[in-house]
Amino acid sequence: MLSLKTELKNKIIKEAKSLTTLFVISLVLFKIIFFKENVLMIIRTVSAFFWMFILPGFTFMYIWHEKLEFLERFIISVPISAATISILSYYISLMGLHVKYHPILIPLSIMIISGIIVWRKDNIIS
Amino acid sequence: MINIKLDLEKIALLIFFAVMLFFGVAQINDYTINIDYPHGFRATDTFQNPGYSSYLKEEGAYKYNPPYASAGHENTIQHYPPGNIYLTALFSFLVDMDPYNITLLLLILWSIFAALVMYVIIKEFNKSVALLSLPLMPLLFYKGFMIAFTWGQFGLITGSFFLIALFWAVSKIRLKHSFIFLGLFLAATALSHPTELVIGLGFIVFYFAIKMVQDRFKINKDELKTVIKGSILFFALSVYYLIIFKFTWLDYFKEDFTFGKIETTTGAFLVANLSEFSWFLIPILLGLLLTLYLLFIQKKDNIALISSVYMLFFSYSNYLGVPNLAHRAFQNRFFLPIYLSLFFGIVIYQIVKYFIKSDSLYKIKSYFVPTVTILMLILLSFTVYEKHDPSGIMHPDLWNEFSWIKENTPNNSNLYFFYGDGYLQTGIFFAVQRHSWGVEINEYSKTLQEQTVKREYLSNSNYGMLYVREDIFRFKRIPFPDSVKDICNFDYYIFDKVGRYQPLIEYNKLIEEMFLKLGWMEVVQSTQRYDIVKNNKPGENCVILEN
Repeated sequence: MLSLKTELKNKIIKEAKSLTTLFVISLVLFKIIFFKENVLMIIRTVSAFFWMFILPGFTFMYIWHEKLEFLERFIISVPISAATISILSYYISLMGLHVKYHPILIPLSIMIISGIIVWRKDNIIS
Repeated sequence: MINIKLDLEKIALLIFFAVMLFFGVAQINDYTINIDYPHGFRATDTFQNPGYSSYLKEEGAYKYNPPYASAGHENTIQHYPPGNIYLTALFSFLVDMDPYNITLLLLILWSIFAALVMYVIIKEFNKSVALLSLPLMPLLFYKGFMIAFTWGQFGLITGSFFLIALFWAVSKIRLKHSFIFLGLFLAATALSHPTELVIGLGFIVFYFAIKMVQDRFKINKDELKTVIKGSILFFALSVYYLIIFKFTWLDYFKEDFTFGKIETTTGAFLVANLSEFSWFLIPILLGLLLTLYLLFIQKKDNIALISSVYMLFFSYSNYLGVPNLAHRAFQNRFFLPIYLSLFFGIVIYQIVKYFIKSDSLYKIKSYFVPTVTILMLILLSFTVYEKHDPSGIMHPDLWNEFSWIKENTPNNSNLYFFYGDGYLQTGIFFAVQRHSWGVEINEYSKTLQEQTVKREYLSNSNYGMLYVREDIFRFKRIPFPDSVKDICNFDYYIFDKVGRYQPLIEYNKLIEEMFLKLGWMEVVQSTQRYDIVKNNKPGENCVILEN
């Protein structure tokens, strides 16, 4: 059980590094392509995209981390995040919570809930 | 050795991402992100999605249509698919930008990730083919295909993004809990563009039909169970909007949802066609033949093969006389550069294999294929992929004019736009966020020829379908307001001083002068391009003709 947990931890650390690398590469790429834009706006846009459309889906896709490779999980995390956030935001706003809170609350909730599921799943398996 | 292989694939993907971003949005946005006004919006529909997102940001929920886009009604039910409206609004909060200025960037990012998901799907069939499919995909921003972006097919773009994700979900149908993917992406298509939901459901049926043909009419029960569980999840997540959709869109466009063969359609949909591919069409057609051979003779059941054939079939289903959703078949051709990329890749791979006389297939896959992909992307960037400019209906002056109106007029003001080039596409009125009517140009020209000024003019607005929800399943259609408007009833008038038709500009000037002579109207904003006149006595006779 201990070794499996350590294995998961190591994998998470390794993939967190890969995600950070991709984040930095995206910053550089965006700065090259949108060369007239200031650096702060580039950082803000890429960070917002990662926060809303990469991290929630990527955390959720970790449930299948043993079956799907990193690149596939990374790419599919965008439609997963977009689908989940648009659906949740629609219904939560109709229930009365103003959308201005959603960009922070919904991705954060998806990440926390997905993280708990991944952790519990790993415990159950081990 | 392994590291070099991985790096080349990733480098090819990074270059692909850069090429897509560059040709999709960077040029239109003049190489900036934080643009001052919406670039590249070239038709009325482009203003709807960001218009609703702006309203959502103010209201906090998209339950009703904005009164300024609903003839003043405050309780007409939201009917526009909410998916991309919410994503744009939320992202706009995070980056602190107007939804109008962030919409195109987001849509291009959806398209890039749709292409990358397609890459993942094809990679499951053959990694080399997947890489060699990439160079066809930037044609999404080429000639007629680009119209999806500049003429406002935003629902289609978002729906197609989720549809391709659904293809991926079907490719994972044997994965544990994969019903979540199916349910989620089906619901996302429903909330983004229900046409893609219908195509997606059709695809699942098509997938099982192909499998049955290949497996001698046996159905895999586990796969069927996954589809049933996914369908339940989809239903739960989308039923609320689907009820609205049924009683608004399906009611309003009854004739659009008839079944049968059509050979032509209207406007923008006609221009995206196979002929747009130019010489690329030769490898695409050869690839189609090869794919059909693999699918039906060799009985390969790969999703990449099935989805590519299915989307080509659907895009041309109008000619086969099979049931279709009228011009929706035409509409889906905008995404052919992604759907047909497999056909291109499969042929180029055969050519690469033929010409590269290497003893080792491993070397071909590891070095030559990624290198050829990178070279093709670079070469086509300088020769084929199309450059775009920021031009569109909106321009800085017009954006400033609308900003002035939003900041200086009451929310419930009624505006009347006399002739101006920008106002001919009435969707633009979404951006001014006021009750707006614009004079109908033909009638305006006619009265000019008659050398008179009328009190009532045939006029255009941005109002679409209007329904009030009376019960869960009961919706009342609100009749479209009379298009003949009494110009004296408005609070503000916009007179353009510059335009393509100088006689009409002179006519504007004449009417403005007549208004100002009345004594109760005043110019509240004047620039070189336009005047805004305030009417302090709406309803009073304002047409007093002298010689």
